[in-house]
Amino acid sequence: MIKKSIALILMILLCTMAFSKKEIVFWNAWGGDEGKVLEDMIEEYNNLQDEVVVRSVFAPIGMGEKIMATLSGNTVPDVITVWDWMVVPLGFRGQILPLNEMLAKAGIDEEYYINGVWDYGFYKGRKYGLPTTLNVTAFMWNKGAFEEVGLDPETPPKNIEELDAYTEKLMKYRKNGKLKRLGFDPVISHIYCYVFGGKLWDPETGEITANDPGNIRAYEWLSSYYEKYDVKQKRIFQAGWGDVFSPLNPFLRGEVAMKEGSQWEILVAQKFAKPDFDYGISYFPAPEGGREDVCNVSGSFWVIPSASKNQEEAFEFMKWLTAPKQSAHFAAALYNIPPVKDALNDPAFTQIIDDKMQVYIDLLTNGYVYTFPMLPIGQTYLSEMTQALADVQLGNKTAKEALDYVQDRITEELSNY
Amino acid sequence: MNEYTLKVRKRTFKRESVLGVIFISPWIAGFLIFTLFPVLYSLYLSFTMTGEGGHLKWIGLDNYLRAFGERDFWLSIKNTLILSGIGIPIAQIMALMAAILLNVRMKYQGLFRTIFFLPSVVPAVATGLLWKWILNPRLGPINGFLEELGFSGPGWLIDPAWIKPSLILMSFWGIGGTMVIYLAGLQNIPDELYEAAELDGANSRQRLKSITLPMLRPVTLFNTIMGIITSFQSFTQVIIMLDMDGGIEKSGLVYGLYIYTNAFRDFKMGYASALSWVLLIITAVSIAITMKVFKDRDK
Amino acid sequence: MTKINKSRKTTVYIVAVLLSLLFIFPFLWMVSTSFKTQDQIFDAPMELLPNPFVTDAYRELFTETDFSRYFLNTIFVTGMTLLGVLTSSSIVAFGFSYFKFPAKEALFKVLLATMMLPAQVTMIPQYMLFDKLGWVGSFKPLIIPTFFGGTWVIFLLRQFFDTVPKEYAEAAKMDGANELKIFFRIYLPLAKAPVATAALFVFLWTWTDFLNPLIYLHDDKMYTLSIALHRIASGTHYPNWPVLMGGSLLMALPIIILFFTSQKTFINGATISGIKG
Repeated sequence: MIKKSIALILMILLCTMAFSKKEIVFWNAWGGDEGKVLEDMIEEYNNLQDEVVVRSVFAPIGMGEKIMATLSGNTVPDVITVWDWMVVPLGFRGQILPLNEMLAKAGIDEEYYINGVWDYGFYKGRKYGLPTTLNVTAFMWNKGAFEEVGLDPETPPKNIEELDAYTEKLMKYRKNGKLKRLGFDPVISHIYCYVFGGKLWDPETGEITANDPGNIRAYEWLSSYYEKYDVKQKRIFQAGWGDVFSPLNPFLRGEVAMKEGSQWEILVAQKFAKPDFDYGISYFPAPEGGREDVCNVSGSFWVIPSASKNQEEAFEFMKWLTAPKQSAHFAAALYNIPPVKDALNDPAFTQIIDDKMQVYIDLLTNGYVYTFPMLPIGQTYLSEMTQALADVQLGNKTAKEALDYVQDRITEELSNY
Repeated sequence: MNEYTLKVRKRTFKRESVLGVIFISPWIAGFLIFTLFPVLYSLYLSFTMTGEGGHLKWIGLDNYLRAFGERDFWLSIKNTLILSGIGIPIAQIMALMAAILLNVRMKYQGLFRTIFFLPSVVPAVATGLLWKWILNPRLGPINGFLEELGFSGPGWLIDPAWIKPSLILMSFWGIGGTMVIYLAGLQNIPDELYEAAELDGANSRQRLKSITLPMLRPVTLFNTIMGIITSFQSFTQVIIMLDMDGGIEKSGLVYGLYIYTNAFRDFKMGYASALSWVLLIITAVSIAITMKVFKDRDK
Repeated sequence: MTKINKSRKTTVYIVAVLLSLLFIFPFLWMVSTSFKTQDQIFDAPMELLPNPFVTDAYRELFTETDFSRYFLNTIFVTGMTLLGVLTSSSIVAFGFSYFKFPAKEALFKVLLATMMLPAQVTMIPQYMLFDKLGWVGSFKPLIIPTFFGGTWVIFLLRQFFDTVPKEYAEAAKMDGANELKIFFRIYLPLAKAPVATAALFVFLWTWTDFLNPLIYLHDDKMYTLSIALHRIASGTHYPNWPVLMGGSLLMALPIIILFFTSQKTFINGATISGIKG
């Protein structure tokens, strides 16, 4: 009798243990409304399967302190959100898992992702994370301003020469000499490195190519803007610009006629632009011999800490989060683009596609996709390139000297890794 | 001195020493348990770099030698010393004057003190953004006011030459905290001293010089030392007002920011640790110099 | 407290008022922003008076967040910290001030030196330590170390204790008091102002601490107000300004009230001449 009861109790215990769900911890990097979208998706996942319960913890995305501190300990979450440039430093240091095997087992490969996106997150053959959503940059122009100065509003500049000429035409000044409208101001300098036919690195070999002739030409062109137009005036003018995500967006207010813009700025225009404001999106104008379809991609990643005790389950969850349906849903909420091919056709995403968003999608699927080199030294390469440009602009170095310097320095630093 | 007195002296000394150590034992314990390891580990880290797989490679003094060859290292030291060298003395004087001002018995004294203290309670993000607007060369009230008077206002945060003055100007906002500490110090000065001095015919300036300042010395020393320590490390205001590179031409690149970007943006913890130990030495030396100046003044 | 003549008083008064206007400005801007709608924020030039005047931000703060839970968490951590820091630091400060013992100055210099190493590099090994102790994911790393003294408070209190004339202690000793009595009956009561000051700052810093709770707490339910505020007010492209300002104001309110009401301690709280006989 007693034996039977004990057996029964043991059986019940075993059954409950077998059915008890594993808990995996997910760091939700988004707050506000976007965070809520993700929370809802997590709830959905918890409801539709029985093996795992996902517990979400708020962890703001930029916080290197929290990420590095937590990963140095033993109690780690199972899936965390990081910026793309954090992926390789963490991966290189062995703090996050390479996903190659699990991806292969799940049958996910290059075909699953949009052209060029599969390499995103790789370093020396290991893929360290999955992109959450993509941020794509293209060229925007103010049609009304074009018309005002006698340019065809439907035709953006076709090449660099036209860009320079249009910029000159579109600069507008007040009676007291102060700026009223900027024609164009290049900000993301590395885009132009690629536009001029250069590149920042060789993704296959991982070699740095800072002083590629195309980059040098780009830097010379960039500094020409510095020489042609009064920098101080420009900066003062820009200081008065409002936030991008506000009715005071300078582009929407006609304070700058042409600029680089990401796809979520379509949302900004929808919300804040005046009804008669008309603008267009196109590819970046390129010089002869350059690239006419440069597509800069950036974004955030989901990664699995190496010390996670639930790696398989974490990967399953990540896989679900980046499946076409979920990917489309989340990307649409952020007004970003999903990285996964099939998501582009999912109704959750197609509902936000208009003619402008279509340009971004075309650029992404057909263009020359590049991301800023993801290296173990984090943002060092980017800050060196920025400093190099400043040196050229201030006249301390020629473009070639500045970029040669970066080449030597970064190559030397990388040799330690 | 006879043997008995010596014995008593020794005993009291022993007793006092033991008691003293007992009283400070919580700190000693805390230091040994919570502080020693992180400190020693960061020192160890400063002699390493992180290699593949997270292995720490011993590289000796390489991090330190490298720092001495970096342009940004010297730039950040220069920026920090300028900002602190000018900002700290002025802030101390202003805080002290504010404390003396608000120590005068008058109506609404508590209200005034609270108002002066308010900026310290306002979160750094809000203060930074507000000042960004105040100093905006196009939209801000300061330049607006200058324009009315017919002057063309400076570029403030977007003009490399004006970035440091802007940061110093902003730091005056936070003197409320220091003022409160001076206020506490002022309470400890007995009224009788002032009354006696007045009877002797001393005017307010003399009273300040011979009573207030000397009596406040321990507090002034505290505020100055803490001021040096915190301002040498500070960087969050710079990030809010400028950017992570220290603004245009890196005029605002302070040492604390240089450490931060190396640690959390470039993932170079070894190098950042070395930088931190260099900072410790610089801070210790600066404080030693300050204390010497104070002691000399004492005479 | 200084007593001065009437005309001087008016000048002082005027100066105080003028400076106050300068100092109160960010606070007024915060208050005004918290009562605006998100669109109003973008008005340029900046209007001080909200038009329309809405309480949306506050409503959102109270309904959208688990406000009472975060409030309780923050009160718990802050309260325990205050208890730990004030008790331990006053004892240690007294130790460093009153007694003579070998290596006293050297040890104090070590204490000062620990503050000179920036937190950026000690943060991670510290986390590793707490992780090994198994305290990560709880309030322990935030509270337990406070019972071992806070260096800033120790330094401050020691400076004040140093100003207490030794005669008082000697008089008490002749009456047969031991050191503990001297500490409690003489030094501590005289230090009302600095202790109140220390309490004020420790409260301020702990109440608004964002990084430490963020790093050591692993459960949303344990988060403190500063994290909760960051979460509700943040968005990828722009923060929710009215909510951010309103939340910051609410968080600042206890401190402001505390300071304002504790003015008595800062008014003639601890005059040394207070002891008779």
